[in-house]
Amino acid sequence: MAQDQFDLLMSLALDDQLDADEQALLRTQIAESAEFSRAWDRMQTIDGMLSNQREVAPAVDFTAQVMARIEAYEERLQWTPWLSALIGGTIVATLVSFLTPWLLLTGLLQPVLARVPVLGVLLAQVMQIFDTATFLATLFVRVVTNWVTFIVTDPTALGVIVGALVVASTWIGLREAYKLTASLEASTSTP
Amino acid sequence: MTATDQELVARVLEGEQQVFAELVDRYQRSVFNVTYRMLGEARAAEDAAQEAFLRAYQHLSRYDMNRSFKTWLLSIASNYCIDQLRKRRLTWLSLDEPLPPHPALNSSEVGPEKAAVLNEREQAVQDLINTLPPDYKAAVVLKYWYDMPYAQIAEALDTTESAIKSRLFRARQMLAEQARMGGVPSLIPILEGA
Repeated sequence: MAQDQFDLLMSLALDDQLDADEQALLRTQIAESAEFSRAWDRMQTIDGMLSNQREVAPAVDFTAQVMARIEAYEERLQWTPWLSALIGGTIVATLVSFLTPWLLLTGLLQPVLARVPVLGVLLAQVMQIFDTATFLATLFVRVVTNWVTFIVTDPTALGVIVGALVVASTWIGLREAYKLTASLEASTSTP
Repeated sequence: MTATDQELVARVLEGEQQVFAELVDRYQRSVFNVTYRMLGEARAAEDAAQEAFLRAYQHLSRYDMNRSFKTWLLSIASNYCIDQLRKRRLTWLSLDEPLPPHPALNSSEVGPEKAAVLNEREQAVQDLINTLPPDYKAAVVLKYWYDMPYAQIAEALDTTESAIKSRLFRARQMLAEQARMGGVPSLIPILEGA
C-alpha cells in the first residue's frame, strides 16, 4: 500500500470514519509493516496531544473591551450620514460652481434657460448667495489677518492685550478664591 | 430561565445593544481559544477575538436564526484569523519563531513543576500547529478544540465536507512529517517519551 493511501486511512480512522473492512485493512497494514506501525504510533501521539490541550482564558475585562468597541462603532455610525451628506454637498457645490460659469460662457446653458426661465432666476439667486458668502468669508479672513498683523507689529497693542489678559485672569482667579473661601466658611459654620 | 442565543440576538436587533454583552460572556472563551490556537499569541488573539465579536455585531442582521450562533461566531473568528495569517505571511517573519505561552496557561491550579511540563507540552503543540497553512490550521483547531463534525467545520469555513476531510488528512500528514523530521525541536522529547 502506498504511504499516501495509508495516511488517508489513518486520518479517517482517527475521525471514526472507517467501515469494518477498512478498519481490518488498516490493522493488517500496521501488523505487516514496521514503518506503518511507527507512523500509526506517531499519528496517535500527535492526535492525543492535540485532543488534550487545555483551554485558555481571555482577559477578565474582555466583555467590557468588546462593548467599548461596539460603543465606538455605534458613535461612528451616527456621524456617518452627516459626514456623507457634508462631503456629497461639498462635491455638488464645487461641481456646480465650476460647471455653471463654464456652461454659461460656452453658451451651452442658454437654450435650457430660454426654455425654463425659472431655472435662470433660480441660478441667479444661487449665484447671488454664493457671491455674498464668498464676500463675507473674504471679509472675515481679512479682518482676522489685519488684526493679527496689527498685534504682532505694534508693541503697544500687544502690551495692551497681554495686560488686559493678565488683569482678566487675575480678576477671575480672585473671584473663584473668594467663592471657595465663602463656601468653606459656610460648611465649617454649619453644625 | 436562560434565554437562548436566538432570543438574545433578536433583542439586540430590536435595539437592546447591551444584551450583546451576554452573548460575549457566553462565547468569549470559545472565540478566544480559536484565535489563540490560530494566531499563537495572546495579544493578537485577544484583539482578533474582539474584532470577531465586533464583526458579528455589525453583521448580526445577516445571521440565520436556524444556524447555531456559536458555529457562526467561530466561523467569523476563524476566517478573520485565516486572513490575518495570510497577511502575516506576506509581510512578516517566520512563523517558526517561538511564541510565549499564554498567561492563562501559567495560572492553572496544578503545581509549578507540572505546570512547567504542561506549558512545555502546550508550546510544543502550538509550535507544531504553527507549521500548518492557515486553512489547514483552522480545520485542525475546530476539529480538536471543539470536536466539531466534518459538516459543522465545513459550514464554519464555508466549504465542503470532502474539502475538510482532505484538509484534515493533509494537515495530519504534514504534522506527522514535521514530527518525523524533527522540524519542531520542542516536540522531539515529548514524542520520544511517548
